[in-house]
Amino acid sequence: MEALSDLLLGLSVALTPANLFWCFVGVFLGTIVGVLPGLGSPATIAMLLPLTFRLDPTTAMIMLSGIYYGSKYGGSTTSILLNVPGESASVVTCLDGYQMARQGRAGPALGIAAISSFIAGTVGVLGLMLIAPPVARFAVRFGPPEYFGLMCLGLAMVVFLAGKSMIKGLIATLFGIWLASVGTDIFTAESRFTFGMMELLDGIDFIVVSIGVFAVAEVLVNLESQAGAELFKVPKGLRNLLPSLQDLKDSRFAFVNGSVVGFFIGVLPGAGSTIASFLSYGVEKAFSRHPEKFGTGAVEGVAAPEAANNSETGGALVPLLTLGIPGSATTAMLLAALILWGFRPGPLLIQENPALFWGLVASMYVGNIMLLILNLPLVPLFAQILRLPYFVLAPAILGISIVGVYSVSQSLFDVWMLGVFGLLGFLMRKLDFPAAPLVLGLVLGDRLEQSLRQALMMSQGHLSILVMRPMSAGLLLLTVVILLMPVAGKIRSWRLKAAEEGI
Amino acid sequence: MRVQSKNDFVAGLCVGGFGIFVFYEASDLPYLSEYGPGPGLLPLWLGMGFVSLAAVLVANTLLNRGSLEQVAWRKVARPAAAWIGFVIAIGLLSGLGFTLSFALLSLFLVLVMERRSILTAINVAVSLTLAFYLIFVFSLGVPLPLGPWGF
Amino acid sequence: MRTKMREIGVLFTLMGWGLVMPQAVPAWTPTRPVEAVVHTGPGGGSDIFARAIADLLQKEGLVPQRLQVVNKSGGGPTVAMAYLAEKKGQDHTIAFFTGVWVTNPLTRKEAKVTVKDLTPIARLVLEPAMIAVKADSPYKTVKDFIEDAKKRPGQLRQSGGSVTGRDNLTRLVIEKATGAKWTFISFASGRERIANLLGGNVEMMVIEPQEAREHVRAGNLRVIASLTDTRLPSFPDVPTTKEQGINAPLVPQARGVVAPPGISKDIVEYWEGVFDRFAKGASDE
Repeated sequence: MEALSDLLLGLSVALTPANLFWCFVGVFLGTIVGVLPGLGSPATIAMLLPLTFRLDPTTAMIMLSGIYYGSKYGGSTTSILLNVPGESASVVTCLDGYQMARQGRAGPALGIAAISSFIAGTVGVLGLMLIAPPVARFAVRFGPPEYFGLMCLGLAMVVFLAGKSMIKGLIATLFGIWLASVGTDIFTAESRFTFGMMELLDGIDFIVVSIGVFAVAEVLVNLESQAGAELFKVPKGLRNLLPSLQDLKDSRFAFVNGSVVGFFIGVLPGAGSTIASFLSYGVEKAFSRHPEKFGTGAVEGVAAPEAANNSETGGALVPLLTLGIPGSATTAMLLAALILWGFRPGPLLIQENPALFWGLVASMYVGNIMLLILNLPLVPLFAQILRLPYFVLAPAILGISIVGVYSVSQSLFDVWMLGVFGLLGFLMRKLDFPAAPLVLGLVLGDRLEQSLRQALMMSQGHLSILVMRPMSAGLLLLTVVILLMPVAGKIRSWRLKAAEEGI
Repeated sequence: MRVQSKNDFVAGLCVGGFGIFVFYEASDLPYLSEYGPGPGLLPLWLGMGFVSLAAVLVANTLLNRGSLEQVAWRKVARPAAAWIGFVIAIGLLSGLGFTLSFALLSLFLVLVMERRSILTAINVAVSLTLAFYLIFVFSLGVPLPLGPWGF
Repeated sequence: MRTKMREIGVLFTLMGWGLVMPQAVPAWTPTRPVEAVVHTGPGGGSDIFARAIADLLQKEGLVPQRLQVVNKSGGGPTVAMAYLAEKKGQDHTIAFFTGVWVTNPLTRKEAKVTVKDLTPIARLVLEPAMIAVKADSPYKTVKDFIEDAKKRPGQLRQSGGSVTGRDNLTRLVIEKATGAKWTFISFASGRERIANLLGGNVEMMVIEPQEAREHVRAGNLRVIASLTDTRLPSFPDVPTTKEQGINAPLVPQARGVVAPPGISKDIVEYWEGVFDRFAKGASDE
C-alpha cells in the first residue's frame, strides 16, 4: 500500500510537462545511441552531462536514465538486420535474430525484441520499486567465491552454444578466455601476452572481437558467391512485419525468464548485461521443448536475451539508489551526476529524496511505454533496409563495423584488430568452430580469473572457500548438472541404439 | 586408415601448437603471487587445456569420427580478395580519412567483386558514403579519421 | 564641468585597464577546443574529476574554449602518458594526472614516459583518505586492527584497487612501521571494493571521506582513522593514524594538470593563470 502512495507521488513528479518532455528526449536519444553501433550509453551520458546542469536534478536524472534504458531497446536492431552487434549485450541476439532475418522474419524479430524489451523493462522497474532494499543486501553478500560460481555457470552455457561438436565449442571458449587474459593483470600490474604493444595493455575490446567474428566474417562468407541472388527474403505486406500471436505465445516463458535473470544479474555490481543475456539464452534453451531450433531462428532466442538486457537496467539502478554503489559503467556515470548535482547518493538517498527516487521510477514506466510506441513503428521501416541488394549491404556492413569499432576508443589499432578477427571468424566458420562460445569466454574470462584469485586470497589459498559458502556451492553444483546434460543425453541415445540393435 | 577430415586434423594441430605457445609464455609468468595465485596460473592451465582438446580433436579425425565435411578451398579466393580489400581500406584510413577509404572500399566491392557496371559502382559508393557522412559525422558528430582535406 | 569629470573618469578607467592589461590578455589563448586527456574510461575517477573541472572552467568563463575530455585508458596511465609525450610541443592539449602517474612508470617496463618528461602545470587537490571498517566490526581503532593483524598474519584482508595505487602503498608503509601483515585484494572497480567491505568479505579498506560519509551516516561503516596530518573537518571525532601512535608516512593522492613536453612558456603561463584563478574562486566559495 505504501508503495502505491509513493508511486502516486512519483507519478505526480514524472507527469509534469517538463519531465515528460525530457523523458522523451532521453529515450529518443537512447534509441538512436542503441541503434548505431559503437555509440555507448556511458559515453553519451558523459557528453550530455554538462547540459543537464541547467535542468532540475530530478528532470536531468529522468533524462539521463532514459538514455540508459532507451539504448537497450535499439541495441538489437543491427544485430538482427546485419549481424553487427551494436552493444556487447546484443551479441546473443545475433544468434537467432539474424537467422530470422535471413528467413524473411526480420520484422517479427525486431517486433519481439521491442515487446520483450518493454515487458522486461517494466518488470525491472517493478523490481526496483518493490524489492530494492532486500535485493541490495543480497548483492552485497555476493563475494568473489559467489562470482566464481556464477562465472562457471555462465561458462557452462557453452553446452547450449557449441553446436555440432562439443570439442570445438570448448576450444573456442578457451580461446575466448585466453583473449580475455591479454593485457594487464590487475593483481600484480604485470602484462600478459601484450607482445610489447602498448595498445594491448588494456586488453582487447569485446566489441572489436564480436563485430569481427560476427559481422565481418558473415560478409566474407556471403561473398563466396556473387550475390546476384537475393540473400534476404523480404515479404510484402504489413502482416508479416510484426510478430504473430504464435510468436508471442512461444516467447511467453522467455519474457519471464529473461526479466528475472536480467534483474538479478543487473543487481550485482560485478556482473553485467552481457552475462545476463547469455545466461537467459541458456536457460531458455535448457527448458525448451525443441532446443534444436535455437541458432536457426527461434523467436525465443531473441526474446530471452533482449528481455534480460532490458530488465538489467532496473537491476543496475538498485545498488546505485539504495547503497550508492553503481551496478554498471553507465550507472557509475549516473552516480557522478548525482554527486555533481549536490545529492548524497548512499543508503539514505531514497529516504531523504523520495521525490527523486519515485519520480525516476514512475518516469521509467512512462519511458518504457514511450519506447514501445516509438520502436514498433520503426520496425517495418528498419526491415526495409534488407530490400537493398547485397552488393550495397556488404560495403555498408563493413563501413558500420569500422565506425562502430573506431568510435569505441578512437583507435586505429582496434580497426586493424577488427580485420584480424574478421579473418579469424571466417576461418572458424569454414572449419566449423562456433563463434558464440568464443565471445562467451571473452566476456566471462576476466571475471572468472579475478574472482577465483580474489577468493583464494580471501582464504589464504584454501580451495574449500568455493564450496563452503552456500551460494557459491549451489552455483557450482548447478554448473556440474548442466555440464553433465550432454553426457546424459549421449548415454540415453547409446541405450536407445543398443536397445534397437538388441531387437 | 585414411584421414577423412583433413580440416579437423590441421585445425587440431594448429590449436595444439597454439596451446604449447600459451603454455610456454605462461611459464615465464609467476604461478603464485604474494597472497594467492599469480598471473601465470590461468594461462598455464589454458595452455594445457588447448593441448588436450587438440589431442582429442586430432584423435577423432584419426578414428574417422570428426566431421566429414570438407572445405571447398577453391571457393575461398573471393572472400580472400574481399578481405584483402577490407584490410587495404583500413590501411588507408590514417592517410585518406574514413570518407575516401570507405568510398574506395565500396567501389572495389561493387565493381571488382560483384562485377557490376562502373555506373552502378559509382552510384553505390557515392550514395553510401554520403549517407554515412550525413548520419555519423554530420548529425551525430562521431569522430572518424580525417584525411588531409578535412573529411 | 560635467563632461570634464566624465573624461577624467574615462581616463581613469583606461589607466585601470592599462594596469590590468598585461594580465588580462595573455600571450597565448586557446583558439579551438582543448583536449583534456584522462587515463580512465567514462565514469572513472579521473574522468569525472576532469569533466567537473571542465564544466566549472567554462561556467566561470575562465577559458574561452571548450575543454573536451579525451579518454586514453590502458595499463593504468601508461597509454595516456605516452599519448601526451607524442603530442610534444603541441598546444591545445592538457591532461589530468593522479598519483599513479608518478608510481606507475617505476614499476612497469612498458611505461617509458615519466612525469618528469611532461610539463607540470598545477596541483589542484590533495585527496585525503581514511581507514574504514564495517560498522559491526570489533575494531574501534587502528590499533585494534593492527593488533589483530599481528596475531594472525595474512588473515585479515583489505580491499583496494591497483597494487601501485595509494591503497596498497598505504598498507605497505603501515605494515613496515608496525610489523603487522595482512592481505591486499585488488578489485577492478571502486564499486566492488566497497561492496566487498559491506558484505564482510574483507575487513578493511582505504576510503575517501566523501565516499565514506553516507555509509557512516547510515550506520553501515565506521571510520577508524584518518590518513592525514590533522583531523578532517568533516570527521572531527576521527583521530589520525599519528595520534594513534602509528608512525608511517602518509601516501598523498594528488590530482592536477600537466601538459605535453616542450610547449612554449606562454602556454604554461596561460594555464597556470587559469588554474590559479580557478583555485582562488574555488576557495572563495
